[in-house]
Order: sequence, then C-alpha cells, then structure tokens
Amino acid sequence: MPRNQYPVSCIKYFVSIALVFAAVYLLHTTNNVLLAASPLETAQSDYNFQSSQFRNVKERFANAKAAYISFKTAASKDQAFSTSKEYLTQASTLYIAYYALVKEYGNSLDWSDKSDVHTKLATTMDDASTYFLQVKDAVTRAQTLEDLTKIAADIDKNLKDKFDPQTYYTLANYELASGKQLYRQFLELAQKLGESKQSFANSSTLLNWQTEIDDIKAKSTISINSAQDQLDHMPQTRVNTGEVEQIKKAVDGTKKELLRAKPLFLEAAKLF
Amino acid sequence: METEILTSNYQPPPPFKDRLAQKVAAIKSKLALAVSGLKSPKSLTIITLVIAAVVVMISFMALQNRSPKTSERAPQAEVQVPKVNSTPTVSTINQNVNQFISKLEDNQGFTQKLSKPIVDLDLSFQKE
Repeated sequence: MPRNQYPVSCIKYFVSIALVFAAVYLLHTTNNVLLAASPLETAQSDYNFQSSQFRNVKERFANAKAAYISFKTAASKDQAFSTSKEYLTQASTLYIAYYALVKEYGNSLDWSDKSDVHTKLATTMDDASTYFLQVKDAVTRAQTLEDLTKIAADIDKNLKDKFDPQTYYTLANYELASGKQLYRQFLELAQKLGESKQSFANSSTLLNWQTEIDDIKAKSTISINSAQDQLDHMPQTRVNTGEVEQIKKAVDGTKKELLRAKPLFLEAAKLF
Repeated sequence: METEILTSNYQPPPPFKDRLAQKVAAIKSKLALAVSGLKSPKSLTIITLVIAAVVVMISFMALQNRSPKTSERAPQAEVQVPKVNSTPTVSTINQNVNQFISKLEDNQGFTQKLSKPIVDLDLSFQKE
C-alpha cells in the first residue's frame, strides 16, 4: 500500500491558503461594515460621544463652581476659571456636533420639491456651527473668570434670539418634508400596485380598491397642503417647540390618512 | 570519612557527545512517528482538507463579487439590471410596502429625535 498518497507539504499548503483567505475575507467584510456607516450615523455617534464628554466636564465644573461660591478664595476662583473654560469649550463642541446632526437629518430627507429650502436650512445650521467655532476661540483667549461669564451670557443671548428659533424652524420644515416624502411614497406605491390589474380577482375589485386609494389621496393632499400653509405663515424668527408640534400634528393628520392604505397595500402586495 | 561514603558509589556520566547523540535520536524518533501519522492521513484529515478547499473557493468568489472593479463584467450586468428594474419583483414591492408602513407608524417627532443639548450657561457664580 503506498504511504505517500497525501504529502504533508500539500496539506500544510491547503490549510495555510484557507486560513489566509478566511482572514482576508473577514477583514474585507469588517471593512465594508465600517465603511457602510452613513453620514447621519456618523453625525449621531459623534453627537453621542460629545454628549458623554460634556457630562464628564459638567460634573467637574459643578464641583469647582460650588467650591468657589463657598470659599471665594483666589485658588478656588482659579479652579473655577479653568473648569469654566473647559466647560464652555466642550459645550461649544457639543453644539457644533448637534448642528451637524440636525443638518445630516435634513440631508437624509427628500427635498425634491423644495431644494432651495433645504439649502437655506443647511446654511443656517452651518452659520450656527461657525458661531460656536468663534466662541471656542474666544474662550481660548479668555484671561479671567469675568471674561468667561461674558462669553456665556453672549452664547445664551444668541441661542435664545437667533439659533433656537432657527433650529425649531428647521425642525418644523423637517416634519413637513418627512410627511411629503411619505405622501410621495404612497403615490408611487399606489401606482405600482394598481398597475398589476390582472392580479385582482375581477375588474370591480380593482375599481373598489382604486376608489379607496383615490379617497386617501384626496384627503391626504388636503392635509399636507394645510401643513404647508401653516408653515408658510410661521414667523421664522419666533418659532418655538409649540409651533413645531403644530406642524407635527398637521403632518400626523396626513399620516393618519395614509395609514388607511395599509390594508389595501398589503392586500394588493399579496396578489402582486 | 563522609567524603569517602559519598564518592564510593559515584559513577562518572557518559561523555557529552554520547548524551547529545542520545537526545537527537530521541527527538528524531518522535518526529518520525508524527510524520508517519500525517503521511497516512485519517478520514478526519481528508475532511479538513476538503473543507479548507471549499473555504478557499467561497472566499475567492466572495472577494470577486464584492470587488467594485468589475470592468469586464460591467456590460453584462448592465444588460441584466434594467430587466429587473422595469418590473419590480414581489419581494421589492413587499419590502417597499413594509418600509412605508413602518415609517407611517413611527410617531417620534423631530423635537424628540433632535432634542436640544441641555447646557447651563449661568456662569454668574451666585448662590442659587
């Protein structure tokens, strides 16, 4: 009986090649998963990271603030100054990450009918980020605790008067854009499903299905137009959470109408 | 007296050369035993070999499919794709319907998704 049927070197060769290929394949897959992160996901993870960093800084700042209020010594003031500096820098970084996240949410929506609005909103978010970059520079240059107190007051004023209303106005637009996106999706799906006429048992079933779809379309069109009208009459410089909620409520009305299509779509999709 | 007792039973060790030769022979015999086992492999070894070959093939195919530089295959793919796009498959339609419904049922507004950072900007250092 021949003993050298399977040479050792051959086995080793195959096993080594298999291991190398398996490793390359795993590396390739992992890289693809990592690279697949969308800009929105990246912005979200960056914001989450900056939030956790801010929480840590906030704790140190609170302790230093309490110590300075209690003792009022030069040493405690210096400690309060350095932690306040750190606190304002991290707060600015957090705001920059927040505005980047808001902007990315906008980029993830469909603005096919309002691309100019999208550009305008993205610019306001960029402006807000630029302001906080300038704040970071000012904080770096600050020499005393009084300087930092002034910077903090300036941030507070700008947020209240400018950036918060702008952000809320942006969010109100996002609410409407997401509602419109769903409305367009509904029209597209209704058309696709209605096209397969032969799938329906008979023509009367198709007609009844189509009249229901037409009714949903008519009512949701009224609802989405009403939301658009509300947004158009919104005072851009004085928008708050209440106004965003108003738009959301109007968009929810559209969604409620569109939700009536759920059983109709599922029924047609089964026949498709 | 004590020295005599200790040295009476003493035997000198074999020369270094002999000890080295013994060690080498022992290692050689162990290796020969292991190699002879591999030279006549068991069914487990054959199965491992087959699995390894399959893994190599799958890995190679996966890498080929994932590569974006499919310059020669691209025209073929382009010919096939429009056929699929023009008539959406049942799974695509079902997927689109399900995605649409799940978006409709998501009631979380943007004020919740993008809630403002909570930052206390009171740096007056006054007792609260």
